[in-house]
Amino acid sequence: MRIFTASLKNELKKIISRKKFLVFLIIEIIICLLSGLVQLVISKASSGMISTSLVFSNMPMTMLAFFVQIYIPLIIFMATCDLFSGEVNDGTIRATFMRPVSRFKQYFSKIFAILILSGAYLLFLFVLTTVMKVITTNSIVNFGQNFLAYSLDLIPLFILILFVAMLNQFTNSPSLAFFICVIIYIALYVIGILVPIMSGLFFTGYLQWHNLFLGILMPFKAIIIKMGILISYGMIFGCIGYYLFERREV
Amino acid sequence: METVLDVKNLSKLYKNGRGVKNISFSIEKGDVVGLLGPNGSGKTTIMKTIMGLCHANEGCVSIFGNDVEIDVEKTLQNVGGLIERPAIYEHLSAFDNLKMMGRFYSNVDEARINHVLDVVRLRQYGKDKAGKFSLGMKQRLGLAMAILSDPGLVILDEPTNGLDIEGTVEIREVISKMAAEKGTSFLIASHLAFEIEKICNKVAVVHEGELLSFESIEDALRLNPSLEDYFLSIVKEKRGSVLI
Repeated sequence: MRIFTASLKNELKKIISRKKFLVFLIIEIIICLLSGLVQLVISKASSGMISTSLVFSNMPMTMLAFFVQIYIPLIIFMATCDLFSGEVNDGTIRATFMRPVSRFKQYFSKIFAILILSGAYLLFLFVLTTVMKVITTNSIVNFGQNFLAYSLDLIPLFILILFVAMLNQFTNSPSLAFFICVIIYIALYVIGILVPIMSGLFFTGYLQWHNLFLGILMPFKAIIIKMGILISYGMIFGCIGYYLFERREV
Repeated sequence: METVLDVKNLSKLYKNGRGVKNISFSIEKGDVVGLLGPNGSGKTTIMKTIMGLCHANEGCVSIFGNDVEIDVEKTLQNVGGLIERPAIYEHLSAFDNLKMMGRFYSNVDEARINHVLDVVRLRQYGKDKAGKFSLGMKQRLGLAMAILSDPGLVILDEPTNGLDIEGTVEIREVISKMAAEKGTSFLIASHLAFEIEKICNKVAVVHEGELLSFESIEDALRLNPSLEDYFLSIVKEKRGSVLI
């Protein structure tokens, strides 16, 4: 466990020391503020027909839908390409390959570091939107439910990270890996929208995982099936990705 | 004498058919062994396979009695390496690079990192980003990363690459001092015969993926005026036997 923790700390250090992830955090704040501003303008323009408090009371959830499907996946693509194909490309992966740490621990410490990064962005978004909500509505209604929704959405993001990490094992070029990830993600997403019957088969259809548990409850059997699909995807992506990483020669 | 590294019938062939075939040799405690061979002869492939960066097709590598393919954590605990160019995170400082690598060892603390930076004369640049370093400074940092945990075996691929005269002499001194005082074993690859002659006590000649000879520098120089002549005579002998 000591070695895994050391490896995890290293991966987090590598991520934190890259300024772009701080820039993305600033962009996250700007998006939230702009969104709040637009809603305020709409509320004013409608002469109170659309109440400010109503709009802001649902802000944590409306922002979550956008961030969990578009913004955070982009950050995941970038971080994963940096930690996998990026390191192979610039040769820095050898620095850890030559250390007394198994490739299993290296692989999954990278995955968990990216998951922690995604969690940090989600947590920051939750705090920001909740603060905006409290300021405008003077209420913390649904605080627990919203927090649960944010937490649940980390699960499909974990599967997405495993998927992107697996794709990264097929190329040594971070830019090509990023391009492939974006194209495949968009393709799966669009197919899921155009052919709704297919969306249940792709893991990209489960990015708003909280919808299964919050609001209108689905039958227990349906939830179990969907959980099974997601877990299966995770196991397949995790195993293939790790195997290719283990056999990698640098 | 304690055997530090034991390479037995090691073969590693790439898809293009190049690589190394049937390599066997062993290194004992305190040995400084030079892998001498021209560019593309397979020196780096041998080192990469020993360090677990490549997977051998045949044969086995044992370091302090452990196999890198079976238990990488135990095997690499007492090994340091600098292979090809230094693997440095350029957006981090020299100190942070060492600190990150030091996390995997129980014997590396801040004092050890500073000591290693002193050894390679980079202490004053410790807080500077490694990306701004010159080629020679990066090489020194690479060496610092290799000796960070005070390993029993250090594997260095062209360690004086990019270093100036002073830097080259200093690196030689560090190697000789570690071997003499701590009994550290070294495997050093170079295509420069005079460099191996100066640092090593044993030499292994590698040519076109084969190990042509493995003996002490003393024996190699018995019938030859220099290691360069020794190398040429060995290669000539091999080519002659192929022609016949």
